[in-house]
Amino acid sequence: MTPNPLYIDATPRSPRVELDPAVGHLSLSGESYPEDASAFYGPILQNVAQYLATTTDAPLTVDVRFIYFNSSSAKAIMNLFQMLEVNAEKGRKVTVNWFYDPEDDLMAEMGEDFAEDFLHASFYLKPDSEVA
Amino acid sequence: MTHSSDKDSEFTLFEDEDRVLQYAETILGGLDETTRLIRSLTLAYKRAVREQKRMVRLSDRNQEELMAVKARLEGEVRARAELVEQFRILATTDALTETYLRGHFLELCNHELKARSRSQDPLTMALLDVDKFKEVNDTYGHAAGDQALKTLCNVLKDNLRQSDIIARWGGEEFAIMMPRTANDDAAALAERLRQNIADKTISDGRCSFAITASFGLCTLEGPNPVDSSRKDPIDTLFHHADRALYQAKTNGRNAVVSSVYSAGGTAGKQAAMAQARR
Repeated sequence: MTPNPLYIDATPRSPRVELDPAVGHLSLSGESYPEDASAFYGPILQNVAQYLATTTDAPLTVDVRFIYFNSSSAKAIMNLFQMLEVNAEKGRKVTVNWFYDPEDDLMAEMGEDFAEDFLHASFYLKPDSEVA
Repeated sequence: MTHSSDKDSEFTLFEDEDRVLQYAETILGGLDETTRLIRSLTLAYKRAVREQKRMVRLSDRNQEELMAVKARLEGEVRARAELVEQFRILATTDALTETYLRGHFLELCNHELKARSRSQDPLTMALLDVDKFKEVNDTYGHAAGDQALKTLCNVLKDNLRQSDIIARWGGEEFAIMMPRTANDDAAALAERLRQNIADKTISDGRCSFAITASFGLCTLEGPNPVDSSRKDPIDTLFHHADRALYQAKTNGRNAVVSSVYSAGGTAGKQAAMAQARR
């Protein structure tokens, strides 16, 4: 059984989110400082968890392109990444691509930071001038 | 002694030792579990510490970014305020002579007129026109003409009081509003201006020359004029100042002619100061 796809449009304060279970692709892009980070990211994390639970060893690629995120969003991203790492440790092939504006030192630093959490999943830092 | 046989079979000389061993094993078994618990707690704690460090770093960086944005915005606000000030000056001031433009001057005049409506302080309006200015331009060039107007305005600024207001009325014509100034005082002041202008040597590096100017004054005495045929009450005053200026020109230029306007009608006190001081 394939879980339902998820699509959330971007707003000035929250990113565009897309989960395509058919091809095993998750993407988050834009700004992230939603009024209520738990309310925004809660359903997304649930959806991903459900996807991971129902597809045991299908590979998953995650593309992340953030222009800005606040502290609450950072916590949500960490939770997501932890979920992915645990799943990769169990044997799933998980690839995370961290796209960022090459001129944005903060996003580069955060990417390098997050990279340390991944021992089993593949994490790639991808400077990309189209993120702006 | 019914239970004696049971008790006998369980009897051992090392009962105490066995109990200690059993207790130790129980404790050891628990230790393993505690160790496992401590290990997983340590892992979780390490991750929490890592996350906290990251959050602290992120907060600091975000703050830095906000401060940079704040500094940039403050710069923009400052630049915009400067621009507004520049526009305000451009809209009210003549760039060449740095005197007020006609529109702004009229606003100030009407304001003054309202201010005097109760006190009925005398208010004098002077119009001055550079004599034969076309000849200056034709003889020495427009740059010299501009220099002449600048010099003339500097003479006015140096000799007038802070309450007096100067405006460029037209090409080579200027207006001076003198609040709370009686006709005699205004005429004397205008006469001093006329003299200083005539005495001043104008030089633009290549040539030097002198100019003269004619003055027409009108002092408003008593109540403000009520003339429904004019759009602006102040126009009445300008009309009479202009007539005085015309008189000064007719009298041979480089002269001051003053008049008084009082509510009863035009009291044509047109002093013959002109000819004497040419």
